[in-house]
Amino acid sequence: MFLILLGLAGSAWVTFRFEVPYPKPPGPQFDAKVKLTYQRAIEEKRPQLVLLGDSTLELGVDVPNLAETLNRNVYRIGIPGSASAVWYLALENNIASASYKPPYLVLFFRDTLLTRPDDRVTGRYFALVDELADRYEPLVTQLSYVQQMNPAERFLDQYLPLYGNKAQVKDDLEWQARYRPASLLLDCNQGCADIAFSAVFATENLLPEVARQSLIDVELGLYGPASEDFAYQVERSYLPEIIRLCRENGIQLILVRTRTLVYPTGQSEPAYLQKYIQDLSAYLASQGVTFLDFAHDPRLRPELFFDAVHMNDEGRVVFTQLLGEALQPILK
Amino acid sequence: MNFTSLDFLIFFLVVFALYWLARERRWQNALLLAASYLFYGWVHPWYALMLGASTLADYFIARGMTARPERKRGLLWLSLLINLGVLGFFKYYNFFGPALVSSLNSLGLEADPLLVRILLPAGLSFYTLKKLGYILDVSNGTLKPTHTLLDFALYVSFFPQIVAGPIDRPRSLLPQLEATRVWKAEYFHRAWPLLVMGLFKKIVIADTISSIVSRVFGLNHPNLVLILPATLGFTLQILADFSAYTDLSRGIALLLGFETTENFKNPYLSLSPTEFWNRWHITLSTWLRDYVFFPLRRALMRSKRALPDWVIQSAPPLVTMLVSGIWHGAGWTFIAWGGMYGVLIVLYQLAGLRGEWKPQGRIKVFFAWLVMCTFIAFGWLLFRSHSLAWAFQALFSNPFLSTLEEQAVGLTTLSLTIFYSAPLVIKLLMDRHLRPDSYFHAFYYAAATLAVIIFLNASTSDFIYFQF
Repeated sequence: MFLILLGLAGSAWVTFRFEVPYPKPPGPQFDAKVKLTYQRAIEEKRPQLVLLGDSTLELGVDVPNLAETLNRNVYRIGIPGSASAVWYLALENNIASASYKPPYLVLFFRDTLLTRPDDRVTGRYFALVDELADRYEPLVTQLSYVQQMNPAERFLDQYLPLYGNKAQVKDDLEWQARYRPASLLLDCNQGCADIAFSAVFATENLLPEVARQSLIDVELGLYGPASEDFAYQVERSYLPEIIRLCRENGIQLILVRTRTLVYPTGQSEPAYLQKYIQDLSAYLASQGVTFLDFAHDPRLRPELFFDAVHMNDEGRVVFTQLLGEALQPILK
Repeated sequence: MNFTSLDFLIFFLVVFALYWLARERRWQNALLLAASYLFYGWVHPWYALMLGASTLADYFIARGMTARPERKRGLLWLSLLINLGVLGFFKYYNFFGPALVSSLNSLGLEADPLLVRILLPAGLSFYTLKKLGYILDVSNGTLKPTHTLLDFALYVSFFPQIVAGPIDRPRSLLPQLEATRVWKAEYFHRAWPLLVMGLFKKIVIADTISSIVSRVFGLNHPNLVLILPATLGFTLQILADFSAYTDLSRGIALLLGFETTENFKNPYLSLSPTEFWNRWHITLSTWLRDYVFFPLRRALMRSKRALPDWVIQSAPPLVTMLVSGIWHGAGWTFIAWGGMYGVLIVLYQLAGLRGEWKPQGRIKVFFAWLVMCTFIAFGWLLFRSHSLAWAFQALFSNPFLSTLEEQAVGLTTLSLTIFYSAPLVIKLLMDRHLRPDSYFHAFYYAAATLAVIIFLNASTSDFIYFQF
């Protein structure tokens, strides 16, 4: 009885507090604000080449050097922690929507990342998705969230507001404990506290084995049975839409696979991955998309990496040079 | 399979339905045994094979002890060798693992580090103690060995208990396995609060606080400003996590008609180390008391050479607590943690403060509690640290050299720890001052259920005690 009463009261509170319809459409609620920083930069700098990817791009490519090698204007969108959902949104709402369309888009990925729409879209990664998403993003809602729910989750998400808005409710409940003491005693507001967390728990401050394990935990989702079948995954991913958006906007898409040094499932590349990459390669060829695979390039030696996927300073120089050499004949 | 996973929910609903449909005790036990092996072999069937082999060995050893009493001693040693050998090997596998992998690699054989982790079976420590307790009781003549392999195998592998206890004794669980069980609504009424509290403590408290605690304990050079609140956070996390597992285990067992042993009785209210161990992980404490502490004390008292009284008083708690530390894991941090409790028990005993000690007056009680609480938290710091050097370096760092960022993170960790301990404090006060059937309890459980729904994630991290 108490459970029903409290459940009703809680649901009513959530519906009014977060202004959500009842029943709500399944999937998360994005805010209406879209970050347009990249669009403005593209319109202002008018790059011939836009590089898009996650921290491996941010740390692995020396943009001024690459621009010099290619003798072209290069702009980088390296978003640490991003994955295919964020790349799709960056393309849709910043690159393709810009008044100036760059002739080339180079998208950096690792292994199965392109066909895992559910990777890095929840928890702390949701903010990355939300800042680039418009209020209504049916494709993102479907591929990254609804498609991943089982029927029970979908039902609860729609009809039980406490469950459907759990992230906001949890943040609301915790907010006073999380931010108020630092604000009162240290004059450190929410923004300051968030920056403090990022600074204190930066990768360089972690124990090496903890940093290694964190990376393994994050990467683990890319491997395993759910990722193996390219033909099944590609239809459930952003890849066809990324190709379509590029084609319709006159942008030539170039995909670059970076090297993974140590796999979470073991030292060597999982056997199924070779078949997956062959299928990906054939698919891209059929779509007229250029594919550069650096995953087995012997010149990217293990000592050029500071962890399993990120390159060190020396690695950045080497990889930038290799990338420049590979891109040169492709760019007209 | 984790108690808080969807896999487990489906598994349990199927087992529950079939179990009560079966009605006949033997069929019920056979079903539970099959379910237990499925549950245990879920991650790797090899786990279940190992469990089956060691169960068979102990079953026949116990039977052999009754059939051939003159060989009892030899058979006891054989069982000890098998059980402690396997346990010792796996407990210290982490030490051998990397060296083994590199040796195999140097021979051109591929062995990935994950293999090392897969090979470590969860719950081995728990079911080994269950089997050892059984063998020791049979050997002492205090228990007659069961003649039914099915019942014994189920006693060892009973799925609500196999991964992290409680370590129920054969005298308590075996008779229940041998008795007829009929469904009663009372089972559900008693199980429901346990299940709600178990899920609440695990999903809402332990998993949430662990996200910040594990980050601090993952730092290379944390200072005092960070490590003190994180230690308090871990003190909360480990209680919530482990007692949640026990609550869920007991709730699930109750739904199957079994009464299992309570493992926690507000351990952080203890006034002395002996009292703490009478309230914390009670089934392990009593196991160690009965099979390590008492036999050792008896042996020392009966020693041919007259030993000084202080040796007879000090050695048993010290050895018992060291065994407890080693049981929890291979590493100096666990040994130091166990050793600390051994020394504390001895010191309290020397000061005349035994388990039932309670000072007169509220202020004295408060200070006794504060001192014991500090020891408990310090113990958890050792327990959770990567090394003793890491712990002491953090503890003796200068707090005045901390940055604003570190102070903000430390303060947030502390406030979140207080925030997430509040529901447990409220529950404690309600249990003390209100009748169990009061509306406040119903309201609390309803609120806890809603909180579980809000905090529920697709993936829940494993319970801490799985690793022991």
